[in-house]
Amino acid sequence: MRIQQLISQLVREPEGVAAALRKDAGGALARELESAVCGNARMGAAERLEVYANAYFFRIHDALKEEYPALAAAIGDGWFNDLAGLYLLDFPSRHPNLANAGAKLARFLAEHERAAPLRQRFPWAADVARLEWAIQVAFDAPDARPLRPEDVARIPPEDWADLGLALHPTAELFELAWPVCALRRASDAEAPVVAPTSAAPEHVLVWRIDERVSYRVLDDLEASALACVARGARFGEILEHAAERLDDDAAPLQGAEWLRRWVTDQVVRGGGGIA
Amino acid sequence: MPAVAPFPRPVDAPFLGVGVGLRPVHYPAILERGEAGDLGVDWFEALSENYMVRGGRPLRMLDTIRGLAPMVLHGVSMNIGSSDPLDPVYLDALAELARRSEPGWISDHLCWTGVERTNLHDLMPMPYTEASLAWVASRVLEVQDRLGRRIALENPSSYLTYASDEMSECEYLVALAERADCGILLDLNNVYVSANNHDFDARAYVDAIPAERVFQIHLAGPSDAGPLLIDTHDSPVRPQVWDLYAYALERLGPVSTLIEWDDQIPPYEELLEEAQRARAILERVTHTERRPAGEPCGKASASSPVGR
Repeated sequence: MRIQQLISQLVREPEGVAAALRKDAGGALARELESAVCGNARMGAAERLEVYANAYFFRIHDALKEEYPALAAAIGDGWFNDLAGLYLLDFPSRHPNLANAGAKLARFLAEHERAAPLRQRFPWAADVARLEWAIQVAFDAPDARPLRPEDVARIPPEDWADLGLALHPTAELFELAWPVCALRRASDAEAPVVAPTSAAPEHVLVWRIDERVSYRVLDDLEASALACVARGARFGEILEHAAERLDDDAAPLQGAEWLRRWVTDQVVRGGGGIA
Repeated sequence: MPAVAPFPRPVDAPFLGVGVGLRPVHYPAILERGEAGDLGVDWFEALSENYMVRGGRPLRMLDTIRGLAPMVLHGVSMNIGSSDPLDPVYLDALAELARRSEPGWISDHLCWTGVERTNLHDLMPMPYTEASLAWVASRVLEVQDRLGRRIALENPSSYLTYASDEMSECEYLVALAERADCGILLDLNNVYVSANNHDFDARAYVDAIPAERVFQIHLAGPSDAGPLLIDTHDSPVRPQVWDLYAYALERLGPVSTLIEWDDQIPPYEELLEEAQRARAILERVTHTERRPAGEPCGKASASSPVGR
């Protein structure tokens, strides 16, 4: 139905229906709209369609703001409005759920030409978006039984090296160029957000404990150890990995401490036959 | 007075009483009242798309609350009126959600929500033509085959009409329900809103709806926007809609009734006041007992919570 394509095009015009019709020099769009949609004395066809156009923009804008609260607070309402409008030009929603409309915002900010002015002014914005989307994804990522303290307690110490590990399906490990976790933490606490002033790589872990999403910054060594876990390493390999970087005495202690924390935080599940 | 009324009812949409839309902000209050054995409502309507997820809190809450009361599924993205093909991934997710939650019925809207794979996340009105009617009817049949049950479609609020329209919205809705043998979710706020926006008679609309097709009634509050009313679900039900509700019940008999509130959502207790008002009208007009008799669908009993 051509009528649906026409309406979809006009409703998504970034400056609204009236502006799009004014810009269309030959007036073909206006004629097509007037012949397809009824207006009356109370309200013309373009005005009626504008109601849908406004609803389209603000519905998605509000959904993005809910998913990216720290980004919205850090760049301010004016820039966030612009961001939403520009983003929708390259990434209109393709998903049945409005909550997924912002899935590609980090990619847009990092790569797209339209985002260049935002990138220049807020070079850390793509990283904030990357973190905030990971938090969204973890919220309803698949459930799975995590490795529990009692599972580990059942294993004799001499067999620990064979313990297979995997990242829990809610957990995601990634590296950002800008230190933005503090910014999101301030936003979570409804405190003023302060943007980072210089780039500095940050390893981030995002995961869910029961129904609550958590995130924290990892040091280089723990990040590389968890990267081994993500590849399905046995605990013995984690210890070897630590031994390459720490004293002989410190490596097993560090390994045991990581395992204790990962299990407590429900970040790992058992591989190789554990529960 | 006996609850038996001389009204033809759809056998696959039993009378559930008065319910409210299930919204995450109310989960704690619902769980607390569920523990105390008094939910304050008879059933819930869950928004399908919110639960088409892989895990976490949404599905846990869905399962838990489904164990407390009957539930129906109400979607906004079936896109039944689009010229795009039906989305098989969406229908698979809906079928899976239905297996999980055993809803009393499944509904969506008589509208299109997007075209060329772009979702506008809005309920766009159909051109009310014979050609589009045939198209939509064939798609409803396809969906019902896929889900193995009849669905109900809701009349939308609208702010525009098309020059190509060959019939009224109401004629179209009734013809579609007959042709595809589907149900109708009669949203009385939407009737009120569209009647205002397009200058038609809301009561005449209700008069034309066949009782045997009506699965459910929706009630909600709109907003004023200049000469138009907008379906915002952010305010109490208006007096005109309460009147229309009583009028509809006189003609349709007892119909499962739901209060929708999606924006500026009030505390659960305040929502219950709206539900209570609907219940009072329902009882007065149809002489229906507070609790529907029997266990109308699957897991209705609070004594048999869902284990999953």
